[in-house]
Amino acid sequence: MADAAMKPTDLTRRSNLYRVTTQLGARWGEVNGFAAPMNYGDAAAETAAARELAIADLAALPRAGYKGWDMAGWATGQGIDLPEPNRARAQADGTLALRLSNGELVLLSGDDAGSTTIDRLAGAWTMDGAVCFPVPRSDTNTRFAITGARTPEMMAKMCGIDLRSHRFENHQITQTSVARMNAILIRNDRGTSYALDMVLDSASAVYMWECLTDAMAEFGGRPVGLEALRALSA
Amino acid sequence: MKIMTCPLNGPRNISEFAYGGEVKELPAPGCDNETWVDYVYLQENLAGVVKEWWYHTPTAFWFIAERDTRTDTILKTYAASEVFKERVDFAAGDKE
Repeated sequence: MADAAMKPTDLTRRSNLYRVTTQLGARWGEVNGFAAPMNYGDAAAETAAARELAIADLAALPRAGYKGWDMAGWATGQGIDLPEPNRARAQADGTLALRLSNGELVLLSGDDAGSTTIDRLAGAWTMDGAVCFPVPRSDTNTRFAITGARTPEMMAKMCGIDLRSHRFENHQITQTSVARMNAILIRNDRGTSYALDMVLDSASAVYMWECLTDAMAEFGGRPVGLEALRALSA
Repeated sequence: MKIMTCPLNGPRNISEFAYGGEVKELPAPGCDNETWVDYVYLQENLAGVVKEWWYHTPTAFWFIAERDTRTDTILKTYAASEVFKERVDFAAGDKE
């Protein structure tokens, strides 16, 4: 729930976007030690917008990565249900396992920030006899969600990949160029609504947010908080 | 835009790729300096079908492409693991 009195600067962990989302009227809540935008003042309108076209800052949600010649052997041994390269698979606790190549894995928490898998693997990895190594994803990368039926049409303005629903299946991944920046796009529907998660360089978060909100303007897209995403999945 | 097929990611705009030079055979350990200079710096620059290293930037994925330099046509692309199947280890004594 949003806490009306909370400011993003109350907590030590904050999104690279917090100045932008503050200007947009974000109401904050604590998620994973971060101040996260829970809503922008109108939860019902945001949920409706999230079905059409919306963007959310998911910087607060936990994420982690592992890479190495036998990542698959190690991760499977840790109980990860691993998909084939360029596919994602939901784990029992809602964590999404993205397989970027034969030897690379990224773990993204569900919208409830309730991933136990990410902490468990961080505790299990040791240097001794390592067949893969951790790739820092929580600070060097950030994450957005772009949701709603008009997402593919909007993304066609800034990305060369056909993301339409019948061409880009749920849990399919594309690692490509978006607005001339490298990004990972994962189709990760919320409930019955089309949704993409984007993982990108955190230092370019403001640039990418501005590109996306600018591209969304002609379709009536708007920023939404975490509560709207959770409402879609409920 | 020209399209190249990445063995990991499928067909993509050519702007997502970077050229990495010709695929050459690694000189035997202990070879003379001239052979190393040739390997590191000199290119064959053939007019015909060549094997080249290419890099898909968004995934940091290196692979091999066969290209006809006379027509600039990409004939096929495949993962480097199809060619380089064994790890090359250098013994400590090979250093000069």
